Amino acid sequence: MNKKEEINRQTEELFTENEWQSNRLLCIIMFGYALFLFIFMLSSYMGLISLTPGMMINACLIDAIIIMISSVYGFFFGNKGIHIKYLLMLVLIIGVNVTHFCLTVFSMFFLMGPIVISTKYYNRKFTLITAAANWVFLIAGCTANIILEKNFAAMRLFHRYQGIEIWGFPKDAIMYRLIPETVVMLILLIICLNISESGRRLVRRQAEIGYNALEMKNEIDTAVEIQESVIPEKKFITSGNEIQITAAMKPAREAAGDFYDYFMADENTLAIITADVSDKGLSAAMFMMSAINTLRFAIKTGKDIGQAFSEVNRVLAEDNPGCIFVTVWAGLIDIRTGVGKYANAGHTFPIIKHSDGEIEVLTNNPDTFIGVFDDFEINTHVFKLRKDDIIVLYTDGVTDSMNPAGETFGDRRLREVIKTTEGGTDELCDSIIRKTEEFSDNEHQFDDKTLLLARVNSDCKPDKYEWVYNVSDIDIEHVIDNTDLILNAVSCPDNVRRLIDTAIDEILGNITEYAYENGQGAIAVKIEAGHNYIEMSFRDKGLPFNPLKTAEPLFEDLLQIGGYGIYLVKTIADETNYIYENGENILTFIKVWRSQ
Amino acid sequence: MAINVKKDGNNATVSYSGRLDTTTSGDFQKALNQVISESIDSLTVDLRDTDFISSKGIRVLVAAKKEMGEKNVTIINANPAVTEIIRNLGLLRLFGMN
Repeated sequence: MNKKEEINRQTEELFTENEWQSNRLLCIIMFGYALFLFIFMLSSYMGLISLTPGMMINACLIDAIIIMISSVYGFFFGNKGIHIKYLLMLVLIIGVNVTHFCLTVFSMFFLMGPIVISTKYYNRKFTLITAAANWVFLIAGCTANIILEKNFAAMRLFHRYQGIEIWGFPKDAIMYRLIPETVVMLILLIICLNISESGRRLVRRQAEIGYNALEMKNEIDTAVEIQESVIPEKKFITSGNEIQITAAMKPAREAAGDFYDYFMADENTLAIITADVSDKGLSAAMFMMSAINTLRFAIKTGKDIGQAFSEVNRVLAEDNPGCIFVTVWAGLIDIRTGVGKYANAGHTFPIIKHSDGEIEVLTNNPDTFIGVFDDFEINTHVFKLRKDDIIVLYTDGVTDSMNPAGETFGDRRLREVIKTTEGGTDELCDSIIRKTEEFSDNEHQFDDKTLLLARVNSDCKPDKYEWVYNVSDIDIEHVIDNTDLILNAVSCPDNVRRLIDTAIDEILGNITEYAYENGQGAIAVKIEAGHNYIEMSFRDKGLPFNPLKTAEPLFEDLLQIGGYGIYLVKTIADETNYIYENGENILTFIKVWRSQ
Repeated sequence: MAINVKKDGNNATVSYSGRLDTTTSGDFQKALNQVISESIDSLTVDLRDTDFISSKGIRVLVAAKKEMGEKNVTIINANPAVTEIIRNLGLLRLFGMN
């Protein structure tokens, strides 16, 4: 059924409903009217008021009884057909005209009754017919009046008593009764027709609005359904307790934009993701689906987290006229070592609660969100989860939760909650949700709240080595050989190993040549290696020098001295660090890779 | 470390096996200079068995290219790590790599 048909159908339903209600109203009015007549007549009968000659009383009484019976019937059986209203209205019209005939006091008011009541039906045809019937009976009553008066003196007496001396000639009757009443009826008819029409239009418009709202609601429900169908379970725990995950998603009414995900990228690598899409509704949900599927696929096929993000951006930016964008935080962590890499495209900074209670925020220089720009650059960073550490990923709906005073929950309160809550991922997740809900105190939230908490209890102890050499007789080849042995032992992929070897050559070449003026001095090399990472530190007691501060080479004259070595080290490493402490230059270098 | 030189008319191919780093680049430079001094028209450097190359090794290759002037110096069979190093330094085009 198309939209117009659907709206028409709904409008018809509304009008049918209105019809039964109007019938009921009509019956109530008729009943009331009949009751009034009854009382009036009874008073007249008992001589309490002197209103009308005897036969008028009887006529009115009969009138009242008929109306009363019709109204009761109509009230209980009034929904049996659309013609009932004509019957009822006919009874009423006859009724008011009889009254008009018998009583002249405020009878014009009652005379107009039927037309006014017919407006409630929002049916121009019905109003017209009612008016026509009413006018016909008016004429009939007027005619009857004239005829009766001509032939019955009592009638003349009655009207004189009423103070109306106009029945001598038909002309006066026409002039002073019929014409004014007709004019009033006409004016009323025009007004009521107008009301009927605008009322009907209003109802139709109402149906349209209602239908659109329903469509929108369906769209949002579909978006939420799609979302719910692709996200993993809210709780996950491995049999050996190596991985513990708790997630929560509290969508706001209108939005369907957040997303969380976790999965094993390969046998040893856990992926954790939260994302937030900029738009609302079905198209945003579809966009998010596309982003997530591309990201999942890229990660599962062995790509580095940075490469995966680039792939997602390429796919989305290709066809995104609406400029919808997605912010994503995704990390890949080796569950054996607890060491991993993450990338952050415009998303919030996750918070790690260390086992000693310390709070660490994973800040990084902001990288732009995904989906819009063709020239997309993403940086990857190293993060470590030691035993009993918990990492908290969240979307900005959590920190943006607002209280009635207009304050936001904020990063500080979030860190506070994380710091002070005891327990594992379940307890912490519940605590954060509860605290944000308490804070917002029933204030309507405009943004989805999504949380993903993970704990990785890695079991392996990394291999550690330390060697000390004298700069004068250090054999760089030998250091590289030893490192190769270590890297092969942890199954480091060949090409990663080669890059690490290159970095070692650069660093040691540098220290050997420049650290000590007299060519004598110690270099200490410390290595820590696990299944997916190596962390090396190089210490010397030579001239204080921060090689990382070396300016980037100009690339114009590659034969220039200096710059290239350290530049290569920076491009190879995932993280480098330098400090000068206790008379020592300490340079650290970390590389993390996806184990095959 | 092993260096192998093959000549095909005036075109030379030098194969290097082992690591091209601080310790070994000196010898490689000597070998290249020797080949270039024999007035060749093009030089091909086969790095199939080169494990990795550091900035010292790169410098040797760049010096060789400078020496050759307009004539081609092409690197072939570089493994992904070596290729990445050369790419990071923006030298792919210089050495005829894609």
